[in-house]
Amino acid sequence: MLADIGLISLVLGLATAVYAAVASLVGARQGVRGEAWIASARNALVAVWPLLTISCGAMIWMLIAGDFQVEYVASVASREMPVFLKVAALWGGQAGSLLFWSWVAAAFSALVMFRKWGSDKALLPYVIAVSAATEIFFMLLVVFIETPFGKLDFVPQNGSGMNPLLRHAGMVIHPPMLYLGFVGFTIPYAFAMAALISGRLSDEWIHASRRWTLAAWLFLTLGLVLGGRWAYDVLGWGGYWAWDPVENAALIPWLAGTAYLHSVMIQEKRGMLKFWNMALISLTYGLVVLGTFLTRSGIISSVHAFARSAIGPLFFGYIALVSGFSVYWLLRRRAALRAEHRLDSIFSRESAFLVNNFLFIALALTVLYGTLFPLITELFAGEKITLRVGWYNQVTGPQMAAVVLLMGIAPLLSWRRASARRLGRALFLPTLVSILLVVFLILQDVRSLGALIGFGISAFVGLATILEFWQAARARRRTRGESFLVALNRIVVRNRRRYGGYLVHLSIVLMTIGITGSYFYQQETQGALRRGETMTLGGFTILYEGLDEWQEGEEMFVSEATVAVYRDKEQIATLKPRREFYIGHQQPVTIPAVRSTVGEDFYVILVGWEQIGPDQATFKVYLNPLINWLWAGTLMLIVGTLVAAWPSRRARLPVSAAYRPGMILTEKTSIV
Amino acid sequence: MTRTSDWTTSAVGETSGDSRAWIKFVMGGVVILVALAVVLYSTSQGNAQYFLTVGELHDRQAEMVGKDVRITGFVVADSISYDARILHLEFDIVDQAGSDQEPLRIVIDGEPLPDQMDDEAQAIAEGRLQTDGTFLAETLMMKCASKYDVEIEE
Repeated sequence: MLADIGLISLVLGLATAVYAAVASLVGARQGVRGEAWIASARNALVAVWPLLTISCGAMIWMLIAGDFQVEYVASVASREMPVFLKVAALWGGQAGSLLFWSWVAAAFSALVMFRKWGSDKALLPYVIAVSAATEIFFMLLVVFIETPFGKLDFVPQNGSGMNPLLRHAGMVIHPPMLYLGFVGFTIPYAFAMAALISGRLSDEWIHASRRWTLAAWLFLTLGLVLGGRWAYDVLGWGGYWAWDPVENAALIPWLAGTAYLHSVMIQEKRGMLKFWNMALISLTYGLVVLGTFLTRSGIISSVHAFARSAIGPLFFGYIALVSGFSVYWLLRRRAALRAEHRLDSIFSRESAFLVNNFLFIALALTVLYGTLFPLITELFAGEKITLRVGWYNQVTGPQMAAVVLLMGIAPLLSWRRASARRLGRALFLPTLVSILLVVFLILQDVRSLGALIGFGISAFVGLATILEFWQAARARRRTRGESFLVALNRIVVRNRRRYGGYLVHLSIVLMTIGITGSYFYQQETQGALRRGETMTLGGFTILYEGLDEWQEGEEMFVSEATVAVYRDKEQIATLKPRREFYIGHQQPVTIPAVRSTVGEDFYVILVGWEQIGPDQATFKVYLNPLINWLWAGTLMLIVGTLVAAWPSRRARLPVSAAYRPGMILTEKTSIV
Repeated sequence: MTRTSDWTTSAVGETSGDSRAWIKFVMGGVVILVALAVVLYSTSQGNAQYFLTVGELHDRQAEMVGKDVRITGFVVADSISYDARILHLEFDIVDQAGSDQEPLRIVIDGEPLPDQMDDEAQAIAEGRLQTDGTFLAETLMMKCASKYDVEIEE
């Protein structure tokens, strides 16, 4: 019954989206007389959202109630699962996650419809058409290929439940974040296409879609980090990123999207790169679809390409369609996309943005190349060859270092033509401090070139960015007589975009420190300990105190070891690494115990005990220096993005009247 | 300049001097791309691994001994043996779960037993084929849990 309601509602949603696409195009063709059609199309696109909400609601209801005759419910839910996991089971399997994906897309499109269109009205019909087309594609998949509403011809007593490894808060939020990020990029793409088709090629499409882009970018970033955090907490290999094709599939559009976020600023400021921005957002959206395709079809990780899922060829067709469509309109409008200004100097903010774009695109191409390498070699050499994980680190590492370095310098360059003397003065202190840091680290026996570069660049960029805040606040304090903190607050509030962006830059510095520390200085050891025996790693000693075992409810057995952690003969923590064994799934879940500090994570895994008796257990221990800077950086990144995206009443006013931007940016400074 | 450089060229009627900076940029971009291509190409030589199935590895055994290989397959039921004391893991894989193909013995040391290691789970191992016909792995990944199909029991 509920399954029927869910399916019917979904089909109605599909039909409504088709109507929205058709009506919007009919309206656009009729010009002024078509307004009624466009209004109708807009209402239809909004209506898809409640229809899919009913569909998802029915599915969630069935998951909670345990309607196991529905095959999807039986495969991802079980009676014993707590309610929040039953809800999360909506995206716990392929069919459900595609349904959820469609819902997210519908939600985004509906919300965009509610914005004040005002002078952007000409874009509306095409935004509707492109958004609706995306929704139609995913709903077609859910209705015809991967439906979650199919029924079994018997009623199982219980479902098999979600895989225990996925029952982690990070895993519960991670997929929706990625979907929000992926789907979110539909909106700027729709605006870009609308601008191309309608011929309204001023910056209005960028302004109109800016917050949507930032939201999509933030969600995608969080999706990536949460995935890493889940791997770190649950998979027990002490790492957070493995360059797996599925991870890469989300990273590649993130790289292109980050390039786009930066390059639109040149168009807004200087009327340049119009063609490039259009191309970039199309590329980003194309990579989003490609990423979905790679993760869904199993084409890369599977040795048996294309045999796995029926959705593969359809995605392929959709990618071809999107690419063809984008390229066609880009070429058709190329003449109107000419730059209003030319580049005055290679030594300018504009050119720094360009270098930024080259670097991000190079990174995206690198990761894409690595991910597709098996396909490329199979196609051209007839032999499937992959690249080692080490290859990614080796090749992307220097590129990332260059991006971070540029992040410190570029904001100090002025538009049009920068002054070398001013730049030199602004960079003097950061350069000095980072050199001193590197010398200090060398004296501390840090010998890894990569680590020295990583920490040196972090210090340089971090300081250069902090100085931007410092000098602006000091200048304001001097002219206005405000206290330093008030002045700091005011400059941020008055120019959220700029300083929100700088906060994000600072968060990237924190993440760089975390990645550098944990990548170059991870230590590990392992061994079997009798009760009372000790093992040492990097100045830490663990003492095995004992093992407890018990059954928790119907669902699982728990084995938990107790180890005392010592440093310099003083006990600093008691850790309880454990292994849970889920009876229904016959699946163990290893849960590491971690002592987290600013300096490092001390990470203990209980490896085994059964064979060796309760008096003895085996442990694997990792020391991950500075890793928490990575997570802390992520939190700061959220704050920075929110600051940058927050609506500002004074958004269109120049700020330079109040703000003399320090030593460097005096000429023609303006809002970033 | 060709059509693709529209975003780089300035307004119509520019003098050649005006576009010099842009040309430098396009050149710069081209240089970066070429450099990237060279880096990608040259580094992938030294980091390449054959990506083989169990059957293919058996067929090319003589040629593959000692070479860097990534292999994937399904764990044979009841073949898993793990010594928790020394973190020594051995198991067999085949190309299709349940087939009677000649299995490949995977050996790996120093790693905890992966949670997903189970009969008929899909394993991806990187390492080298030994002369005795076993595969000594350096890394072992079990296929992401989210893709597990579950059997529903009546």
